[in-house]
Parts: sequence; C-alpha cells; structure tokens
Amino acid sequence: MTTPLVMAITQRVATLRNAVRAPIATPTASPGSNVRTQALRAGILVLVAYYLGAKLGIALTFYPSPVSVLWPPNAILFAAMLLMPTTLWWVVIAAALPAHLIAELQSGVPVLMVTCWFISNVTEALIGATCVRLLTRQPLKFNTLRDVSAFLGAAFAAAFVSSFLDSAFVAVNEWGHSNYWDVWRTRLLSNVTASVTFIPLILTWRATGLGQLHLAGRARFTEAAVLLGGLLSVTFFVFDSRIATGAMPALIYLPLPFLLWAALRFGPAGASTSFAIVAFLVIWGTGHGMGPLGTRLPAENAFSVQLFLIFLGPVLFWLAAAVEERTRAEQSLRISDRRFEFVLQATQDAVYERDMITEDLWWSRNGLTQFGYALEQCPRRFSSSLDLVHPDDKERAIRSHAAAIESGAQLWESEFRLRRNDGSYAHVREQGFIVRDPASRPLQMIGTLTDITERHDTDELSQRLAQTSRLTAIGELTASIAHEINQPISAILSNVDAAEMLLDAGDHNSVELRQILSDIRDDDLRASEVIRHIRSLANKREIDFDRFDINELVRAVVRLVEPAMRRRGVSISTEFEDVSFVNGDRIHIQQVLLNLVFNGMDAMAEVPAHERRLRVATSKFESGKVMLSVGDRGHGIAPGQLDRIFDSFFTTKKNGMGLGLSIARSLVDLHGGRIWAENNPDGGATLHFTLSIDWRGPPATSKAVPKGRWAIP
Amino acid sequence: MIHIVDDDRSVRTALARLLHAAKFETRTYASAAEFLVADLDNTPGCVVLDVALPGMSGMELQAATAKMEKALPIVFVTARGDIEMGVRAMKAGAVDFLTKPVKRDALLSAINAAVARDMQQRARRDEVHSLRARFDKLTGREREVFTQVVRGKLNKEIAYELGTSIRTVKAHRAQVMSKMEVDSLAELVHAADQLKGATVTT
Repeated sequence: MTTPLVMAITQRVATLRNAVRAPIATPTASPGSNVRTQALRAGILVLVAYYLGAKLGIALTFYPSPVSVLWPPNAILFAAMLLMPTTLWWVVIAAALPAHLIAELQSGVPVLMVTCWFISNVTEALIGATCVRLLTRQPLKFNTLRDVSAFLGAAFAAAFVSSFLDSAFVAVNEWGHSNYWDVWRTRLLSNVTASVTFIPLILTWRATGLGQLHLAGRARFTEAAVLLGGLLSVTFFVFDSRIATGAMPALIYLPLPFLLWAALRFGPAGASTSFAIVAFLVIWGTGHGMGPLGTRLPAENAFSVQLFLIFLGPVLFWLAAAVEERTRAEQSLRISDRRFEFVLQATQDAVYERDMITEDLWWSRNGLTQFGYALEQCPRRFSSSLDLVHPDDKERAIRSHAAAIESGAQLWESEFRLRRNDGSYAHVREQGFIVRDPASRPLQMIGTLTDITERHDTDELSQRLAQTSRLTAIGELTASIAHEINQPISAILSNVDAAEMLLDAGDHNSVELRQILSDIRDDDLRASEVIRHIRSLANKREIDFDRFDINELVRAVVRLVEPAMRRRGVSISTEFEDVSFVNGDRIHIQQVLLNLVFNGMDAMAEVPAHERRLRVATSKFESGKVMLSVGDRGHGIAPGQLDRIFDSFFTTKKNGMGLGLSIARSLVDLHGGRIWAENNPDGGATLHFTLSIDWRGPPATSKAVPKGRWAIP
Repeated sequence: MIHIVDDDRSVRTALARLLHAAKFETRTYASAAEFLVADLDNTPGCVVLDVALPGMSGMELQAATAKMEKALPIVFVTARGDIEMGVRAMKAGAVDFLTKPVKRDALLSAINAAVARDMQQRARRDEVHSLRARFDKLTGREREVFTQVVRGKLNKEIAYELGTSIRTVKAHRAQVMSKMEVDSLAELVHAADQLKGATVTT
C-alpha cells in the first residue's frame, strides 16, 4: 500500500514543482536547444498544415468551374507568422515551400507559375502579420474589439495588396483565360474568406488551450454539445440537403441563433469554431448545388457564399470580443469592489455615501457602531444625520458641506463633535469626496468619520504642556529620535550592502555606485541634522530661580493632567501640609512633577481600574526642606532597581525610552535636592524629591544659584 | 517580485537597490493604499512592509490583505518595533519581523523564506484548484460514495446506506477514482483532506 502512495506523492511533488517553475522561467531565457526544437516542430506543423490546407482548398472547389471559394494555405501561413516570433518567420516560409510545390505540382501547374504564386502568398502573409504586429499588443486573442478590428484590417489589406501581384503573375505567365481584374477580385475574396475562417479558429484555440477543457464542468460540456448539435443539424438542413434547395432565401438566417449563442456564451473560441463549422458546411453544400445559395452558376454561387461569410464572421467576432471585454471589466470591478470592502473592514472609520439628489444616506458595514449606535439606528437621511452633531458645531458642519459643494471642490475636511448613543460627545474628523457629473453638478458625497477623541485630548494636553514647558517638547522628541535617526541609518546600511554586492558580482557600474554614494551622503546629513536639532533644543533654556508656593504648583499640575487621568481611569488624591514658599525654577519643578505623575500612571496601566489610585503629597522634611511624594498602586520596583530607575535609558516599560526619570533627577540635582524611590508596604511605589524652603518673605527674586546653561546628561 | 512598502523615500530606494543587487525584481509603494490599489501581476514574491505608515498602518494592511485569497507573505521592517508588536505580526502570519537598520543576511533570508512560502502557497492553491475541478465533475451519487469511501466505509456498508447494490457502489467507486485521477484509496483520502482544508480556509 505504501509504495504506490509514496510513488504517487513523489510524482505529484515533481509535477507541482514543474508547474511552479514553468511560469517563472522567462521565455527569452530558454536555451538554444529549446529554440531549435521549437523551430523544427513549428516547421513540420506548417508543412503538414499547408499541404492539407491546399488539399482542402481543392476539395472545396466548385466543380465544374475551377473557382476555389476559400484558399486555406495562405491563412495558415499568415496564422503561423502570427504565432511565431519574427526571428523564426524564415522557418515558416522554408517549411511552406515544399508543401506548396508538392500540392500545386500534383495538379499540373507549370513550375514558374507555382513559384510566382508562392511569392504572392508569402507577400500576403508578411503584410498581414506585420500589420497585426504594429496594430495590436501580442499575442492576438480576439478578446478585444481592438484585436478583432486590427486583424480584419490587416487581413483585408494584405489580401488587397498581394492580389495585384498575384494577378500580374497570372497575366505574365499567361495562365488561364480570365482577365486581370477578374483574377484580382476572385483571389481577394477567396483569401479574405480563408483568413476570416481559419485564423481566428487557430489563434483562439491556441490562446484558450485545449488543456482548459478538462477544467470545464459537466453543465458546460452539455451546453456545448447541445449547441453543436443544433448548429450542425440546422446548418446541414439549410445548406446541405435537397429539402431546402430552392426554398426561401431567408432560411440562410436559421443558423444565426446558434452562432449568437456561441459568441455570447463561449467567447472568441466558441464564435470562431462555430463560424468555421458553418463556413465549411455552407461551402460544401453550395459547391454541390444545394441550399439557398446554390441556385445559380458556380461562379455566382461562390461569390455569394464569400460575401455571406465575409459579412457574417466579423460581426460574430466583434460580438464575442465585446462580451469578453465586458466580462473582464465586470470581473476587475468586482475585484476592486472586494478590495474596497476589505479596506472598509480594516479601518475603524465609519464610511457613508450621500446621494445628492434623493438625500439618502448609505452606511458601510460598521455603520456608526463605534459610537454606540446599532445599524438600524444609523440615520437614513442626510438631514436627520445632522441631529447627531453637537449644537455648537452644527452650523459649521453644514457650512463646510455647503462650501465644498458650491466651490466645485472634490475633497473636503472638517471636524466636529458627534453625539454618541450614550449622550456623550466624540470628536470626529470628517473627510470626503464629491462625485460630480460632467457639468460639475454634485451627484454623491462619500465621506469617512474618524473618531479622534483620544487624539484630540492628547493634542489638547500636549498643547497645554508645551505652553508650560518647552521640555515637554524634548520629552516627546526623544521618543521619536529612534525613528528619525533609524530611517537614514537603515537606508545607509542597505545602500552599503547593495554596493558591496554589486562589487562582489563584478558589476562596476560607476553611475549606480556614484548614485549610491550620493544617497549615503544625503542620509548621513539627514541623521546629523536630527541630532543637531535635538541638541539645540536641549541647550536653549536657561534656568530661572524664583520663589513660589509649592502647593499651588501641585494643584496646577493636577488640573493639567486631569483629562489624561480620566481617560486612563486613574483617580488622584492630594495631601497638602502647610509648607511655605520654595526656591526654584517653577517650570522645571512642574516638569519633574509631571514626569513622576505620568510615571505613576504608566505603572498602573495593568492593574484593575478601581485600584488605579495616585497620591500626590507635600510635607516638611528635615530642616529647611520640603518633600514632594507621588505614590502609585502599581507593580512596584524590584529591590535591585530602586537606584537604577533614575539612570538614563533604564526602563522597565514596554515602550519607554528611559529618559523621564533621568530628566527629573538632573533637574532635581540642579536645585540641590534629592530624588529617590521606595516600595510601599501595601503595594506600589512612591517617588520622593526634596526642595529648599525659601524663608524670605514674598515677593522676592532671589538668585541663590546663578543663572547658567545646562544640558540633559 | 518583491513589493516594498515604506513611506521613507531613501529607505525605499536603498532596499530596492539592495534587493536588485540580490537579483530580485522589485516594486515600491509609498503607502499602504498605494499598494492596495496597485494591480499585482501573478509573479510569486512577497511584501517588505514598514509598520509606521501614514494613513493605514502596516499592521492594518496585513489584516486587510490576509482576507484576500492570493495574499502575499509579509516581511515586516520597522524603525521602532517592540516585542509585543512583533509577536502580533508573527501571529497574524508574517514571515519575519525585522528592526531597522536591518542586516542584509537577515533580510535576504527572510525574503527567501517568504518567496518560498509564496511558491508553496501557490502550488497548494493550484493543486486544490484542480482537485476542486475534478471534484465538481462528480455526479451527486458519486459524491456520496466519495464521502463514504474516504470515511473508511466498506462497499457493503455504503451499498446498504445508499440502498443500492454492491456492484453499483463498486462502479461508482471506480468512476470516482478515475475522475479524481487517483490510483489508491490513500491518495483519495489525501485529496479529500486537501479539499476539506481548502473549504475551511477560503
């Protein structure tokens, strides 16, 4: 049991590997032996097809008159050139020559005439294939209107031009008894008919590939079989039986429903196949004097068959191509719709569409759920959606919409407060797009609502912090230093690696290497610019000692952080002792306190909400000193790290830079104070720092420590 | 084809250059949206994705593409990654999570792994696709027999359950084997597993 299974699996793996490899290998890179085999195979195929085509052409001649309704060899030559790269066209011509000679000499035509015909046939194929190559993107699949039109134009032009040559050859060789223009007309029509019949057939099947057949389901096969059966019997009845002979000419339309069916349901391959079947049956029957087209002299019959086919074929091909184009367009629309759906799901934003004519609103799947509304609560009219906007913002929101519509703009943006289902308000940014008709009248507005409440609060807080301290800017900046410097460093590293690999590979392309060096220089300058910027910020501020009420300062800081505390679910308690004025730089002390408070809040990020309590206290300490304490109920500090937490770049936080507390320590040091941490007996940690009491009466501008410059260690 | 999504132009260019030197074809995008709307051709490859992107982030892009049938494997490259983010990305199916500045060997081996994974996924998709096509050709009755056979039921049991003769079941069974293009029961069970896996994931 195992052996066959193992073998089967090995085989499966091998075929898979080949299947995977096949599409990656570029066709141009195939080795020489491959090209040779390909050429040989193509040559043999052309030789056989050309010969059989000539035989078929003779078989379809309308006896007794020697008029061939369609002459397949030319079409086969033409198709072969379309399928082969131009470099292999000589193979096609070389292979066709012997087939041509054998076929024609068998019917007793002089060698010179046969050779002349070969020249005019090759000329036709060359003109046709070159025109197609110029007019379309290769390869020709008959699945666009452009493809079909280009092919028809090229086929007609090729037959038109080469028939002059052909006619001239016939006249010079004094072959037959027809005059120049009769020969020209006959050849033009018979070659165009052949091109229209055979080339689409060959190229569409080549493009579809027989391999796809096994993927088709049972229903598809059944449908094809019914279609084929119907087409064969109707066409046979009309054109190849004595029953319909001499009957109403209108019967020639009988196969039309089946042909349309093939074009609509089976694409270009279906259209070309069913058309070829009809062409064959019509020619055969009419040649034997049957059917509505077989009632006159053979030459007249041939003429009407040719016209019938030349007008019918292109219409079918155009129809099939148009259907294909439409199907493909719909498919790509579906794909992009699905992509859009994915994007909508991935964003948290609410997306709406407002119909400007009916004023109806359509909401994306999430609707306003993020604001607490159920899907059926989403407003369905634009006017009712305005009820959700905060009364103070309503007028502004309406104005912003109206202004965007009137100004003829395509994009607009506004911010307002939106009432949540629980009655609270969310800050919302609305961004939109207006779809207009060609006269610039608005048809639709598509907008997104992004909840920016958190960002808004943070912005507000950091704005207020920035007003009180420029140091905050440094704090924020330090967080992005890693990112800002990492980008250029990263680019430099990759550039150096790339250059090294190029040199290792022996590629000494000096233009590329020079470009790499210049990019490295730019990135280096960019990195040093970031560093210079930070340094200039840190050096800027001078210290300004003053005398102020410490309790008042604590109260101010608590007010400042209140929104952030609420958002993080932290409650704060304060305990003030009647300590008097202290001496120091008010802004720096505020910064120290802020850092300790944020540190305490961060420490409690993972404890249950009801335990997130922060305690801020002032108390007398030793003689002439005041102690400020910030206590949290967080995870505490490991005993070995009590001292280290104030070191630069030491952090226990996931996203911390390890700078907050070290900045705090350097500021406290600057004030001649002390900062330390201890674990609380009942959980969490408390951070303390001391400041000197200023005994002199207010107001004073004592300069105990001279003004000086300082920098972050 | 390696798709590089990074908002920093010079990082983008440098990465493309490096991968080019390593004989990869590359395409660059300045944002997640640009990548999403791009028409990806069908060549195997992967995405080298920055996390911090303007607008839709790298992680959001990963979430969005994960639902697509032909999702490309992702190698994250970020300037400020932490462990938590990395774990999240890997759990969501990323091939690797590298921090900038990224070392060449680490990047190239991650990309090779990602491309290999993509080729595997493609091969699997093709296989499942052709199995599916073969399965679709089975008639209703043959499907029932198929289901029972891969559950390990004997012909006798199947005949009893479907209310037909053992000979009919045998004939159906032979039809199933030939239509599914397998030679042994083990292969048939394998095919059934593949098909089942596919219906769960898509």
